[in-house]
Amino acid sequence: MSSEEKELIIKAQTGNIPAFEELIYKYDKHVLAIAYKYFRNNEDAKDIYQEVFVRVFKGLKNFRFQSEFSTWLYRIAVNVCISQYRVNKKSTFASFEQNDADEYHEFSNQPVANDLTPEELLLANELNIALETALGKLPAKQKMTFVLKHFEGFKIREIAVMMNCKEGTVKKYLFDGIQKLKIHLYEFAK
Amino acid sequence: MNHKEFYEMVSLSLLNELNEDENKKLNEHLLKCCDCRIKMIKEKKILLLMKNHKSLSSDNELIKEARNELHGALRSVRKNNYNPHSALSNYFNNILRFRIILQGAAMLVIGLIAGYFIFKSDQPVVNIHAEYNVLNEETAIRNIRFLDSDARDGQIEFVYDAVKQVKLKGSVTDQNIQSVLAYSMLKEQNPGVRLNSINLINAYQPNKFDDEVKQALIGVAKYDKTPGVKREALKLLRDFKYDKEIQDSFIYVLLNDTSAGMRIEAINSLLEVSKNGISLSARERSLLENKIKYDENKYVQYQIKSILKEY
Repeated sequence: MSSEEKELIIKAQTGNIPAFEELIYKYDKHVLAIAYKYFRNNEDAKDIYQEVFVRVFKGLKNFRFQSEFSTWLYRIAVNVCISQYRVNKKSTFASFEQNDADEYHEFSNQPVANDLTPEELLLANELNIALETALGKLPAKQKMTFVLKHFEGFKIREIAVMMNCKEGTVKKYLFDGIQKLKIHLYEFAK
Repeated sequence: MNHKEFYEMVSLSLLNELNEDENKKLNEHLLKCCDCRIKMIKEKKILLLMKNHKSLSSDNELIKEARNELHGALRSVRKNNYNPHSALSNYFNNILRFRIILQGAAMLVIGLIAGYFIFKSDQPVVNIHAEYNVLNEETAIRNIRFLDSDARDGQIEFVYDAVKQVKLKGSVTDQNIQSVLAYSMLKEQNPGVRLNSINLINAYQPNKFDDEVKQALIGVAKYDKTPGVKREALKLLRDFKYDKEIQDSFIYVLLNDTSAGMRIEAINSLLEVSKNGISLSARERSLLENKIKYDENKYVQYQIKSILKEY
């Protein structure tokens, strides 16, 4: 941890909001990206972002410099995401089953390469939907390891620290996740 | 190594989690094992599909919105959590860090006071003319400084600050009230009072305030020592009728403030009012382009480019 960061943390621990904001602006884009890729929509990502950093602000006075600030922060972000995902899943299971057209529409409109033929474009859109569906069916922790590994590029040992579990457990989540994706994306992979 | 371990290594290899030796062992195994080769091919296809899938990425608008909402949430948290006892103990904890320096300073002060009382010469009492008697209930005297304390010629001279408490009540748009608010924003030592003055204007309709208040806000945005007060002044200036002076203050903060947070706030202000029709001069553009090269904060650099596009 750099001395500049340490200084900011000490200032922020006294409730200094500008120091806190300067501290978190180094990491907040990453946190938002994780939340966004995990929940796949703006509103949930912003809610998670706010929840994470309010918790960080409140809990910062208990931060004892025993780990890197980023490690501590990402751990909070992962926990908040997983908790909220479980809550959401319970309450939105019915609407997901009813195939909410708006949700699919949002995912199917993700940017794809401009040089595709109409048929390729259609396939790409269908792949988007299939992938989102498949990811949506993964349990909370499996999905989180997936997002952190495949979309954010963290190493397995880093993910293990963030999720506060063993590397073997992270590997298991990843392997099981791939197996499930294989089933859903079998047609596309042929 | 047994086959099960190699089977697992196939997935790890595709995740770039193997070192050189492990990859070499796996490649040797793949030459002999059909099952593992098939697994490698299938998982590679899946990962390729995912790679080609343009993963969602949050845009800058989202991060800006999220940051603004967080700023409000943090202020609310701090307000709700304010505990005078813990604030006081924090204050004393901070003071105690400098105890050695404080001890030295305390000894110095005690020494000076003791020296004054030991060595001062007795001055005759001089009656002040009744007209100048300001030792009444309404007025407090502070900061007495002797200009001539030698009374052998029957005359002494000193200056003092006479502070009279004044209670003022009236409409926020009243000229006197606005003058006091403007003075308070600029000169009041307590940052909480300066902030309060700004919030008072914010709570009413900023465009009803006159130029004196606007000038005071510009001064605060540029020069105040407390970032929180500066930030509120910057944000409030957006609600005033936008003109070149306000634009200049935003640019000043962006170019000169040492805090990245303040520079970002200035950027947000400039972007928000970009549609008000006031363009940047060639010199201003050149200063901003220069800032892109030298600012240490990448977000600031990126956002300055957005400003140059907008204007």
